[in-house]
Amino acid sequence: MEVRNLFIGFKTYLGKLNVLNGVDFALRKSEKVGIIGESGCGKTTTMKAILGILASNAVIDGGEISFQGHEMLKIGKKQLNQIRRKNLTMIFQDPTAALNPVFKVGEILGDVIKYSGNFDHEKATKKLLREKSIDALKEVSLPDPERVLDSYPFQLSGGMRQRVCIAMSLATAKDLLIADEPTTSLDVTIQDQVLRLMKDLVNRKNLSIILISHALGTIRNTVDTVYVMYAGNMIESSETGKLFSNPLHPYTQGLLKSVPKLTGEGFSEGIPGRIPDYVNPPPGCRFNPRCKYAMEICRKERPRLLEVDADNHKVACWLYNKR
Amino acid sequence: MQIVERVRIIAKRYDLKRKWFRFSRSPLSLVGLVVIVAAIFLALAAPYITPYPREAGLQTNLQDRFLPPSSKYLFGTDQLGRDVFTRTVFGFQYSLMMAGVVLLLVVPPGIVLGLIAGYYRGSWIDTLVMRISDVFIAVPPLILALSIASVLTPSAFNSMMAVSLMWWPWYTRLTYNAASALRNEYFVQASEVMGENSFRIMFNEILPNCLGSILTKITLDVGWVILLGSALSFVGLGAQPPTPDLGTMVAGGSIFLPGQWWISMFPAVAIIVIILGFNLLGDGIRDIFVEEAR
Amino acid sequence: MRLSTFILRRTGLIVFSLVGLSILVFVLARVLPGDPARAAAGNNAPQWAVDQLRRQLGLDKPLYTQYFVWLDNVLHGDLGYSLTTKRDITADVIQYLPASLELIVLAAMFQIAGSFILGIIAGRYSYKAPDNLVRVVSYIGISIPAFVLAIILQLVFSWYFKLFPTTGELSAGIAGPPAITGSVTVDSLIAGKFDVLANALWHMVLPALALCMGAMCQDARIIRSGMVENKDKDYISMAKSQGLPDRTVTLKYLLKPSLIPAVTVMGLDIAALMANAFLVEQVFNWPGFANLGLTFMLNKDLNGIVALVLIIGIMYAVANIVVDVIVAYLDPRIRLMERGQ
Repeated sequence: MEVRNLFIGFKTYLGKLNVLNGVDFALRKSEKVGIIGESGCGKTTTMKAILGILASNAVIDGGEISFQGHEMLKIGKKQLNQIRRKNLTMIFQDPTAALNPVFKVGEILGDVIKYSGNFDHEKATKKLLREKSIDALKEVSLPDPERVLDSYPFQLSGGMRQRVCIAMSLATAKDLLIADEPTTSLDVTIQDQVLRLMKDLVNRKNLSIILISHALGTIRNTVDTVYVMYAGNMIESSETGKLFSNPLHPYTQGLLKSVPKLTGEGFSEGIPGRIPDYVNPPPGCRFNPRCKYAMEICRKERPRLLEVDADNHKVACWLYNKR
Repeated sequence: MQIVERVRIIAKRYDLKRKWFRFSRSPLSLVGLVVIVAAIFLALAAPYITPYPREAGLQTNLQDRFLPPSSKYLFGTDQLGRDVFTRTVFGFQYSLMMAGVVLLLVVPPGIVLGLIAGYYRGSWIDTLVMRISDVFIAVPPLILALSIASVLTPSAFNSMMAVSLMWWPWYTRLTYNAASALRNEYFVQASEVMGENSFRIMFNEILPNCLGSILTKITLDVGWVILLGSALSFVGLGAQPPTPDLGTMVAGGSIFLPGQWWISMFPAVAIIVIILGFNLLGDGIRDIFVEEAR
Repeated sequence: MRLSTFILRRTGLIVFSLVGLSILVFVLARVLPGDPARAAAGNNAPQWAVDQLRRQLGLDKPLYTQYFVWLDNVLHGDLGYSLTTKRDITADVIQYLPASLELIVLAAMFQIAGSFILGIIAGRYSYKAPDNLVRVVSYIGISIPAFVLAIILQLVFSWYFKLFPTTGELSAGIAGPPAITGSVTVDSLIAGKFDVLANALWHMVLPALALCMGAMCQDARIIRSGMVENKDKDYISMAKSQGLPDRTVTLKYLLKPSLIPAVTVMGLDIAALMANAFLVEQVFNWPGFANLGLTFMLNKDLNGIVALVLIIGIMYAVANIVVDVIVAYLDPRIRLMERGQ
């Protein structure tokens, strides 16, 4: 998958929010990629753009997304649905919001399997669908799958709901799983369980995965490559270990310094300033108002995400991009 | 200059500029505002701008009966030769006045009761007030109005009384819901702890926070009261001829359909316009406060 | 609380309200100035005749006695004697109520179908042309009182375009079916006389439309705003992201949660239908219960008025129970609240 120079905005009554400011992103088959960023930096928007489920007030101002050879922003409805059924799937941040409250879990799961394109609709008898639904729930280690199928979402606990969502996404074979902060809304004890479940499934089914999180620890333990996102741009990307040991972008450096250390070496520093106003974002590099290294060019032109050394460490910063 | 300064201060205090911005975003709300302002103007200026003001009352003009709309009689004349245009404009006056009276009678007691019941939530006052309100609310409004009006002698005054009698619980219920929700907010408890007088708390702390929904309701209610009033008049239980009530005029002219359609039609359209205006206006006012709540 | 408790409480409240209303009307009628016996006997009747009538009607007894006498009669099926129609009100009800019921039922069908269609179209194409059209039409529809609409419909479609009949249940010259239920449509269906049925339905179209238009537009707006609000919700995004076909997403997963607020007001809608009958039946000369009721009201026929309030009250209570059950069926959260979250 490749996202090239994506610009997306949202029309609101306050004006147009220019959220995505030229996102560059790439993912190879079987690769595990993580995206870190603060709330509101556009991570979810990018993912929704890939799947074609942006809100109705969204405007695509430019850029391309290609996945397995398809131009996701240009293909027709039918093809898009095919890809959603067979190749691509997403897990949402809030499992309560992701499950329709007035339908039983079995109903929703049954429909997902029914329309997954793996068999003829006509041949999908209720019995067959139910069997497959139970299998899907077993795969995510849900006890008493029959009862879960007959329950409404509000009758299940948070962790169970997220497992149900995972089951729906992976009930049929997929190539890429996008997980948007899958554990953020869960209890800490459950978070670990669900994460481990996901890692296990990803390995077993040989999936590619994009994991979004703002928990640095989770990312560090789970993925091979990390992208750092800020205010609508990917500003750094590298192998996980390399990023944590040698952050290049001033924002990444600030981010890592903000994490308080268990060894208690004084207070952690935050990053002064706030995320920009998307209606009137700063020109050039969007981080420049808060950056202590800001130069003249930073205020004029946006740096692209370019490789710094030969080891696939990319940064979008004028400190490193030779002009 | 002093006036301008005062207006500016008031506008700032109640954040009127932003409220106007939100209100004016919807073209429909602006249409509603224009319509209502025009209606109020017509109502106030009725005796001065209509060609035949006395025909809104007792004067008849029997030699000019049943004339179709013309330049002399804009909306034509009715069965007694009276100018339909004049009577329609006076009808606006009457409808607005009636709505004003009803709401004036209904809103203050309704709100006060709701505030008290909400503030003393769980006590016998609460139970008493709300049970009584529930009884009124459980019955469909028009039925209730008809029932009450039917046992009174039909008249404009009595129909106003009938509508007032059945309308107050809606305000009580609305205020009660808002007040009992706000009652446990920290700012209210803070006032209590400081020893603030209960009534002061109700009116200075709780009430201002309910104003949004109350104002919206009042605006929409003008439309409803007019609708209800004209319905009562239409069936004969409200204003009696020769009062230029729009409902009475529609009823009076209905026997002459379809031939002399103008006698019924113009008052009918006037009713639609005025109700539509208040509905649009009410929605606009709701928009102001909805965004605030978000 | 449990569903059955919830419904029982609601019904109880409505019943209580109606008993209260009947008492109120009962009391008002007898307490206010004006002598009902005199009004019934006429201004020229001699005093002894008026007194005799008063005794006959039991108006000389204390108020609470009168009320309990009435209540006792009602529980035995005797609604009293109408001084306007000069016969038992129960007989009046049996004769005139079916006609109103068939109108209300047809109006309800129009309303549900109409609000669904308009609401779904507006929701699906929100902010585009079809939506704007529906919104404008519904705004106007809500603002037209039923009697105004009735007259306009009659004027335009009956008089001017001559598409529908003006008044009455059946056209002149068409014999009604043998009366079994008293409802022309049902009876002609039973008797197999489909031409009579068709004629009767043709007569019902305009009045039914006048009855339901306001509520139809109101419900359409509620459905529309529900769909627009829910359109961007996560569970719809999820359904789309799984590749579910558009039609399934819209008509199944988007519609059901959007319907719930509309169904919740259905009880009020039915009340509106019953209330509007008073305004519409007169215009179309429909021989229904509301038309009769108006006659009672204008003639100060106290027995009639009180009986009217009672009957309407009972119908409203029954309708509310039905609506509550439907809402509970649609929204499992109401049904199952004591379990789960």
